[in-house]
Amino acid sequence: MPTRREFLVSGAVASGAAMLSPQARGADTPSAPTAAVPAYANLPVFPPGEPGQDYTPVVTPNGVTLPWKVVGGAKIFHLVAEPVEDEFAPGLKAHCWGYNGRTSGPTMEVVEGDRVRIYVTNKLPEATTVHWHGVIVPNGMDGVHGLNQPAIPPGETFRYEFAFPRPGTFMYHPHFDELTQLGMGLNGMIVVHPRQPTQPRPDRDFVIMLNEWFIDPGTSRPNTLIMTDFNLFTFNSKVFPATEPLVARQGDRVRIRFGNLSAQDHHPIHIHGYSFAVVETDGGQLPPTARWPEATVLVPVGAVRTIDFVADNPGDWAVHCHMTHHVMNQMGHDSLLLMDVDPGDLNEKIGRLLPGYMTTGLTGNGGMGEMRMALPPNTIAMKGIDYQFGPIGMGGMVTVLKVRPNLTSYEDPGWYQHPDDTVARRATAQELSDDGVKDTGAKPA
Amino acid sequence: MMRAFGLMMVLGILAGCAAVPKDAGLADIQRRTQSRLGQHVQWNRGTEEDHQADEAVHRLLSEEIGPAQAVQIALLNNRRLQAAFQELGLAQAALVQAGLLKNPIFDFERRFHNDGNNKAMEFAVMDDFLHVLLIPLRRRLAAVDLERTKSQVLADILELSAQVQASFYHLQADAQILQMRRTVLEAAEAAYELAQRMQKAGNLNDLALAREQVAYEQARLDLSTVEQGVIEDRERLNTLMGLWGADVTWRIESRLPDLPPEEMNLDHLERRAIETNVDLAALYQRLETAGRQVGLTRTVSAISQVQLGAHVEREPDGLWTAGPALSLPLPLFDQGQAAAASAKARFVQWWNQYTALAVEIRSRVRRVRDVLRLTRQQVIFYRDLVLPLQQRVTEQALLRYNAMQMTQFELLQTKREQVDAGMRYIKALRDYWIARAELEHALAGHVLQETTAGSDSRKGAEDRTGRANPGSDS
Ligand SMILES: [Cu+2]
Repeated sequence: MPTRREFLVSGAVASGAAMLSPQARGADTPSAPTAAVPAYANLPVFPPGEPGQDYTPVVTPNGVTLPWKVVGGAKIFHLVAEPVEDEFAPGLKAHCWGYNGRTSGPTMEVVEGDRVRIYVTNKLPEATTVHWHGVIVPNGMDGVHGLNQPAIPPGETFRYEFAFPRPGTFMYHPHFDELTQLGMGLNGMIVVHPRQPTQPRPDRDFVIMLNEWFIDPGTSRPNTLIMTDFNLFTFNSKVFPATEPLVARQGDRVRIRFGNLSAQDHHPIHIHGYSFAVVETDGGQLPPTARWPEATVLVPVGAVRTIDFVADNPGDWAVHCHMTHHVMNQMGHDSLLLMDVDPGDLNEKIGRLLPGYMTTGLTGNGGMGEMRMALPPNTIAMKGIDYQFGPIGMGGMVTVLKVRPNLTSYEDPGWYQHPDDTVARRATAQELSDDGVKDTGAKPA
Repeated sequence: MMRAFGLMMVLGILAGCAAVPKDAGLADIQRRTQSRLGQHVQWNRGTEEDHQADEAVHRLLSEEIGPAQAVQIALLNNRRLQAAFQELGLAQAALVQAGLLKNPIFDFERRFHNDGNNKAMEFAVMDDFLHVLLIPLRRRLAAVDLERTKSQVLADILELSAQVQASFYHLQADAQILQMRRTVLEAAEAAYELAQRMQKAGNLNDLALAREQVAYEQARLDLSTVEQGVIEDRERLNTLMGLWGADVTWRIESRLPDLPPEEMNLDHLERRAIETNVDLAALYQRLETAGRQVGLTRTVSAISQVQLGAHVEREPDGLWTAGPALSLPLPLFDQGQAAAASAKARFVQWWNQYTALAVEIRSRVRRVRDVLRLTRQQVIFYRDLVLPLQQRVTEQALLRYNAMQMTQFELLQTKREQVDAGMRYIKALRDYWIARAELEHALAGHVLQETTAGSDSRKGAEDRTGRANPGSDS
């Protein structure tokens, strides 16, 4: 039986570059059956893909790209699974697990056909493995403990070796004690650029891992035993307002790759100001004919959705999960429902017993962002960051897409400067009168 | 006849020579009360001093009173104690009586003889021979009796003082707990009101509302129970301090004293308590008396029926005859064996009583000492650990409420729990002071009651006042 290396070599000899024609990649679709061999079989040999030359590097907001070097024609990566401290937002730090000092782990970026050797060092207090989610690998490289490989004991380093036979966006994560290890933050994204792109390369290529956590206010440890009542929903393990904005020049082709390794929740990610198309999943690219326009993309648990659009609409645009509980931070789970309750003198009565007490929620919770009440240590406000028109009432899975004309840098350009008279404002009496709007809700004088 | 008069004179001298204390030992009692309790006692006998005592009581009542003032008022004003002082008077009278000859029985007899004119007259002065012989002994017994009465009065004083102090600490504690119960009620009321308002807005179900109402009504009941306790405490003190009418509106220092940094001297506690104990001393006196009687009884029983007298007789012939009269029972049957055995039994009985009381005193003193130590530890534990912790719990709960992790109901419940801990602290502090007062009284000579410090119940206080008559001769 040939070794895998021989397999690769013989594949290269037999098939050559023709194997990687766009048509060949279309073979992923069920309508074009080919010989029943895995995608990595008969893979031609390519020189390791180089950034700038073979691909435009991705941007991982709040994250980094995993460094590599080339040895003997293969890219060498080193992942270290270890305890890390993550700052979800200023004011909230937690003891998590991650790769190479961070959660989410560094984005692994390769080019279609790249051969890799990935060394995985386990610095966790328990065994681990790495599963390459969506990547077509030989069975023994798939990382399911027990099924595919022995676990990596603490203090040991395992070697994974395979090639990336097809482009796309994938994920890596442990397949050992999944509840704990994914819940503690062990995850990362894999981007495989096409060797021969069929479409223009994106100018801005963002990678965002979605995750959910429960950190009891006042604690600093994700509670991985929680099944449904999560209280932190993160983009790359950050919550708004700590999520870095997605900055694009007007006219840029923008790609956003969303992966979801949440324990229990799918996330419908909505992008304001734009229509986009899902161009690929972790199963492969969608043929252009199979795409349809969207304003919200549902990213299921354990799946990837990549969307493309052209940044033609300047402004500061919200990008957020549309589940309203996912745009909140730790606060707001066990309050009384006080909507429309007449408080009487309760504030004073309770305040006498409990100095500093304040009744909230009497007209909804919109004011919570402004109150800035004293909170338990290591707790972030439910929401609240000042922006140009006031505090933003969202937290969690929120970031801002900032599109500007004539950008010279992709640094945060600050608040959008609106052209004159393009911001909603109080209607004038004249306007109300001219347009015949009568019931204005104004209180009688 | 002359001889008879001479004998009577001798007896008279015998009777008159012993000194009887004119104040019936009051000064001694006052001195001992002062040295043991630091308090003044007054025996109201219609003198100017009565008036001064009355003024002192009213002066004390016009200010906020503390435990010492309450004790002083009781010692000056408790009528049962005044009744007990009368026992002193009685004992003194008995002592005087013991020194007097019995009034001789003047026996006059006129005999009418058959001859009709011969008037024979006979009269005899007979006195109890034993009585005369035993005057010194009786005087000694009466003196012992006076001493015993003094001891009893002192015991009553100590008992009264101990009761007042314990009752006072109960009142102070209950008054503080009453304030805390009001806070609890405020918290329950706020929660119930919030629930009502929420239900009115359509935001709360009836079960939740009913739960908050139950908590509120219970808090009202709890307050009422403590109010009742305060009334009982005050009335107990009114009784002990002998107050009625306009005098019952006195005010107290509103807080129990803080824990004193230094503990009272607990060295040689048992020995000191034994040495000073008044009841034990009284028992010892009985024992001594009984001991003396063991030696005397045989003689006394032999001569108890001997009558000695002077016999003066005028014969019908007009001749007066006079001579000693003696009637003597023949000791054929009763030679005093039974009386002697009885006296001996009495002595052994007192000896056992004495020993038993000493054992009890030692045990009770040890117990109260341990209660004192434990309650001190508990007070410190509450003060330095539990109460700051409860405060922290409340503060943290408020933070969690702010973070919308906790409801107002839970928050107010947390506050109630904090106040509950405060009440437990007050009870521990109360029990400390009661134990301390009891130990101090034990060292002042008081016999501790069986149910005393550390029995955290109103029952305990009731038991302490069970000896309802401080002046009774128990
Ligand atoms: Cu979501």
